[in-house]
Amino acid sequence: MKPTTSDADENSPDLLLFRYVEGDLDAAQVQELEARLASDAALRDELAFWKESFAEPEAYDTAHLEKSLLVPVEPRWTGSYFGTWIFILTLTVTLFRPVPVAMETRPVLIPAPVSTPAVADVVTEARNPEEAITRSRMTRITLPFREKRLPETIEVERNVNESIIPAPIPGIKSRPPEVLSPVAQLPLTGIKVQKVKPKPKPIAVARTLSRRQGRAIMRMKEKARQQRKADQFLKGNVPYVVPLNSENF
Amino acid sequence: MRTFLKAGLVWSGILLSFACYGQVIPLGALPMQYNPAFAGEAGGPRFNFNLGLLTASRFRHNEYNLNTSYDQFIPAIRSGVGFSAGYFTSSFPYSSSSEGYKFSVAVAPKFSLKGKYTISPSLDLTYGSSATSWNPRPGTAKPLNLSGYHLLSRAAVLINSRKWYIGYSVDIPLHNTYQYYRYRLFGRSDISPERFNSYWQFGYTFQRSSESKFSFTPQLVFLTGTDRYNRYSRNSFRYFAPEAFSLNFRYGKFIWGANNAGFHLGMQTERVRVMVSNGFGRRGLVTSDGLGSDAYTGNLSFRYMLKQSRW
Repeated sequence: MKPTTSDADENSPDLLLFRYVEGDLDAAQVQELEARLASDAALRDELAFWKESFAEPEAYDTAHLEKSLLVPVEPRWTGSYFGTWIFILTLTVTLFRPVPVAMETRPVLIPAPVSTPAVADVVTEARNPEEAITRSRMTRITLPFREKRLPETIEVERNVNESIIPAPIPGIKSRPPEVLSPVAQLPLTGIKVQKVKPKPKPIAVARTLSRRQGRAIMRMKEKARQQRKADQFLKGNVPYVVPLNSENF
Repeated sequence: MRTFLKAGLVWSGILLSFACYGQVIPLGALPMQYNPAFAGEAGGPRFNFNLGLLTASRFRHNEYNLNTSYDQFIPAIRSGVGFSAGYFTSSFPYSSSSEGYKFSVAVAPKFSLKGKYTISPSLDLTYGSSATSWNPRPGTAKPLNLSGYHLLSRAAVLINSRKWYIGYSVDIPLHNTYQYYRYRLFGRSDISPERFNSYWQFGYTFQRSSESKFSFTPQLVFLTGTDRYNRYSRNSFRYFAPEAFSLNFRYGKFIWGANNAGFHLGMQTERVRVMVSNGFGRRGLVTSDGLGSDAYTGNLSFRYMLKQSRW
């Protein structure tokens, strides 16, 4: 079993050879190690082992990897999500119309065809494997991109002075011209459409009360009115006596 | 224009009253007529006046009466105090004539219930004087003159709200020299020691709300008691009969209807009421008094509230 850097001794021969191959030793350590290599044949065999050792990167299929590892996010077609897209679609269809497109180039990243890695692409364990994979699989190219630019305003030419002559509706007998009122005979030219603010709907819809219900409501109101007077009386704001209604008696 | 209408109405009432005759006082014209507990009932000072005339051309009979009353509520003693004064004269040419006056004072403590009702007991004291000159055979004999005074007390109770009232009063005869003489002369008196008089009085206002213009207010007075026909009668009898009534309709300021003195018409506000009544006979529409079909009654009633109630 190969030793690892985590559990190996700092001065062990294996770690020194590994770091020597990697070029991580300073000059004093390199001289000391080369002096030992000259006198120790077993250490030279071990160095040959470390030099022949390399970490070969596996040929990962990134597309397959993304498909297998990344969980696609399912769109939630509920409530505001669906409504928002409908709104955007409706707004787009209503307000905008297609116009001639302008061509421009924009850099995009597309995956390159899979190839066998060269010797120069071999990385060691110290190099970031993801960066190496990305660098080796992606190629920077430019493609033509089509962008839709929609105008903010739409100009429509219309002659406002032309008369609007309603076409006769088949099956409906039109009234003779002399029956029309003078207001109705005015040509429909240059009429400005005024915005009419709609009246707010009443909260409680008025309904027809029967006479009995009306009398009951009247009695309730009268009772409340007399109660208010009685309250004022008890507060001392009115004379002590409760007089008869002098308008009737 | 409104002033002219008011003046014309008052003047027409005065003329009608003098042209007609009346002894019957319309119910409501004098609040303390049957029940002294009405003293101070209005909450403020109140002045009432009634002028009545009666004529029966068949008997060439004329009667006049003039009555006033004043009452007010005194907060310091939480009681109503009322004063009344009246005068009347009656004449049958060549046969008899009489006249009289009376004064009365009433005290009515007020007790309020929940600010909606008032209960008021009351006590009244009346002093009256009467004089009659009777000549059974005019021109041939010396007329008989009879005069006297009477002292009468009346206990009463009244329960009322803004819309209705119920009152009850009992006469308590204290002293009556006039009736004593009359009792000696004719053997029958209007107020005998055996006689027991009491009055039930009711009133109610039919009105959709207190702010409605239209209202209908019936009022009724029942006289109930016991009496004997004369001093020779052994058994007394009970009686229960309508004494006075009023059916008053009001729309806005105008009032009309009928009462015990006849049909009435006038105007009424919260402070002022002017009413003219015209009817038939001494008993008005209730009963006949044998004065004939041409007997006629007229009354002019006036009321003024000096200080308006805050209700």
